[in-house]
Amino acid sequence: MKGPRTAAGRRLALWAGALLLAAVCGIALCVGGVPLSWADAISGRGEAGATARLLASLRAPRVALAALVGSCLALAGAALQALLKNPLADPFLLGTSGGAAAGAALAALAGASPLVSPAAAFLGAAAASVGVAALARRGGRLDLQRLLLAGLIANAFFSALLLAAFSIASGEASRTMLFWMMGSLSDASVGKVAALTPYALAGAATLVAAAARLNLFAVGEDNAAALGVNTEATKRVVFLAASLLTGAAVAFAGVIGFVGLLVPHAARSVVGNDQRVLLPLSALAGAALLVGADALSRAALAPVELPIGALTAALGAPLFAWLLLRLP
Amino acid sequence: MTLAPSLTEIVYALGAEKALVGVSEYSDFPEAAQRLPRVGGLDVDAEKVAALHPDLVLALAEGTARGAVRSLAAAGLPVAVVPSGSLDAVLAAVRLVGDRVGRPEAANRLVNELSRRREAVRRRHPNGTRPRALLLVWPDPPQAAGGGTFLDDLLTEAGAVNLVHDRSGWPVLSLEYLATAPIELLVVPDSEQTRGAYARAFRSGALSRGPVSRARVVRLDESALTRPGPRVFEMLERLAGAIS
Repeated sequence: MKGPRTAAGRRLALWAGALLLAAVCGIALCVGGVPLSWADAISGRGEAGATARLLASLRAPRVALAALVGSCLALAGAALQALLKNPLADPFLLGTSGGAAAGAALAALAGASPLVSPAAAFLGAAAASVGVAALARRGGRLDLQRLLLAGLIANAFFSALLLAAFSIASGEASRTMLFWMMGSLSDASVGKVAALTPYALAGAATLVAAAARLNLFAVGEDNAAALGVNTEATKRVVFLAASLLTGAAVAFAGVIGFVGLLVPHAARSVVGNDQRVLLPLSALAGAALLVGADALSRAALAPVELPIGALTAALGAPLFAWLLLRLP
Repeated sequence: MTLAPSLTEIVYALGAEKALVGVSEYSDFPEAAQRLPRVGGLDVDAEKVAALHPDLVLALAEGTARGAVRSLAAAGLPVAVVPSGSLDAVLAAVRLVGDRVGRPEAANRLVNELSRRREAVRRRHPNGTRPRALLLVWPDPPQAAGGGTFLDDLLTEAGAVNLVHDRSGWPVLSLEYLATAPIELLVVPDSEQTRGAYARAFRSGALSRGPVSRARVVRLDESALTRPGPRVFEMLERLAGAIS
């Protein structure tokens, strides 16, 4: 196993990750389609101060939401890759985000107010998780290969639902739906950040607590069991936590792909495959990636915004192809 | 056969509706058009189009699915693609449709009438102050009419300045831009389908803060405003009247 072996080395890697995130957040708070003076926002008077504070009240929650969504997706991806011992595993591959997206789209189609769509996305993600787990269950065990296949089937099914919903929707509603499907952080708010935080914390805490057990999966499931790990329980917990994180991210920001794939790989190349470092570092790096990508999407073509899902896919898809070519 | 509601409206305005064997999904004006066979909305049902044996298929240069248009043409159906990117293009479209359906005089009369009304609007604003305006075709995400669109012409000729004139097409605008841009006049399409979404945007969404929340709002009938057909000139008159 490469990477830092000492506790000090692990701490150093995490501090570096935290520093990177802080730096990216600092930059992201200062760039955007409209120039924002933080001096004015904090102490400005009159119209300049009011405008700056208005801008700050839009931008700060957006950066926070990007960080939360990015860490949710990266954590879910890192945990699934460790669990499935497959570098191509990604929450999107297992149908979780597809389920969340279909749930929200169907709710919108049924005429539910946009406020209902996060709840519907959670339901969809949960349904996808339960369905995929049921399909992957064989003789009371969660079979990892069947899990990937089941995810594939779930994805096909949910994208069919999504397309059907999209084509039935009236021209107007489909516009909102399409934009959300591409992934967007544009309507971030303090309320959304507050609503997402408990899910992110619960999922992250669960995964970090399971990190040591996940490490043993690397030496093979049977060996892990022989070493005293309750492999079935671990698989269930990790799978559900990853689903929770993905569902939450999709509910609040739409479908943003490839973060769960991209970030754990980058992190692994720095610190190796020790989940105790890899998981928290992935969370930090995922947050940094999405905050940075979002800043780019806001600033590049201002006042028009690039859909952030398109941006991450443009980064992630070539990486996916490269990984696929390197696979034995 | 028409593949866009604005084209249906042009055909009716030319009095050539008897020749119509099918119309696009959202062709709801005039009311009689709703009784004609439907051949799909954004996605054209190519088989249904072919089954109706049209002598002519009218499609919009932007708006109609390009792949469908190509496959119809490849299937040997006579497809005419009609421009829509400016008010001049709308008039050219009227002429083109008139030529193709055998009513060039009617097209000429309609173009002359619309041009006269347009000229009257133009003369009304010799040098008044021009309000800085935005025309939002949809509030969530906020999508505006930018340069190179017939609605950009509409804003300009009605006497306003389109704030996103230098963005071509239909740009989706950021909340930060909307909260800070010096918008004095906001033009929004009004219909049962759009009312709820705009109400939400004004209450707590993209239009709830900054200058835009204090801007003057002009609501114009959605189907007349957003379709590059003859009725858009009526909207031009209304908007110009509201501005002056």
